[in-house]
Amino acid sequence: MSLLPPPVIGTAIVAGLAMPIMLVLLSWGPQRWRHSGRRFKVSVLTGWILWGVLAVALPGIAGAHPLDWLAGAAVLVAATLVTFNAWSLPAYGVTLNMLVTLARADRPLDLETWADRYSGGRSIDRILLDRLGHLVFFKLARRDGDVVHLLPGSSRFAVAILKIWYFIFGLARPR
Amino acid sequence: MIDDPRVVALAAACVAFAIYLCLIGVGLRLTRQRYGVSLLIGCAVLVYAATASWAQANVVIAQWHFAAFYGLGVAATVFTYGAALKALSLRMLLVMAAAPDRSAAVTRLSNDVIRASFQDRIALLEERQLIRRESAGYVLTEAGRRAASRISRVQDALNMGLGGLYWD
Repeated sequence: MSLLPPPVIGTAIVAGLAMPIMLVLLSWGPQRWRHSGRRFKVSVLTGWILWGVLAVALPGIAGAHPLDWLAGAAVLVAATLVTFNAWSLPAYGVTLNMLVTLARADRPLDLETWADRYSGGRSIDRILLDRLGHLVFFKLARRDGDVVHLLPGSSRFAVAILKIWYFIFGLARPR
Repeated sequence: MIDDPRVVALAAACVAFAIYLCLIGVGLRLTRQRYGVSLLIGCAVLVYAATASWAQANVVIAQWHFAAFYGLGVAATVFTYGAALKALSLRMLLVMAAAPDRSAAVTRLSNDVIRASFQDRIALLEERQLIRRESAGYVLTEAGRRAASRISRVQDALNMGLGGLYWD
């Protein structure tokens, strides 16, 4: 194995490493970028743009083989997923944030009060709406008053894929 | 016969990924989801080492390309495992998909998914002795206080504040 990666993959590794570095740097960046989600999007976008800039700026990359580009893109998609996994744990991890919520409470909490505090003083329904937001955003579901409907087509495809993964992982599906 | 080492790398990565999926499928069932992420990473390293050494000895392969393609498969698998195991939105999706009219009332999702997930997590925290139940509710144990303090320090260092909600 050559110690040095081909330039397209090498630049992708550099750009992938830039993503977590950007996440940390933006902690002290402009206020409007400090929101956990926005910060993640900006960091990932920066990584991809950096790859594009390096590819244009460095000699011998533009004419690389399509499989070199595919490998570079694979590195960056993998970096995006790994960064999201690491970032989402402290930012959105339910169990971890439940623990912190309980630590910040000045008294014992029952489930309902705990959920209220977790949602920033709102209610357990706020958490539901927050997570439902993903399904609505990806056009998998729509809310119609007090009922949530799955959208045909996209949701069937998503559920089919999900069932395959549940089977591979040997997980019981919620009913 | 494939001559291009990059094409060999792509093919080898596909084969290695298929072996990886079979291996984790067996491993996760045998261990009943205990040590899930460690198992996923351990199997990934094992399959990578075995395939890369076999390929090195038998074919001309572009190792960096192989690592990139296979690494993507593993990253996607770990990401999907975490989501399948914990993501509340995916649970809601499956609950609705199992309903005859592919829909659910907000109250049902609130009870069957959100409240149930909170209860599952409370049970997990109790099992790990990070919290304990008292007559007035739940409180942190000493170990729980230390864990919460570590998480808070990470959140403070990253200027996150208390997290938990995506769309706030």
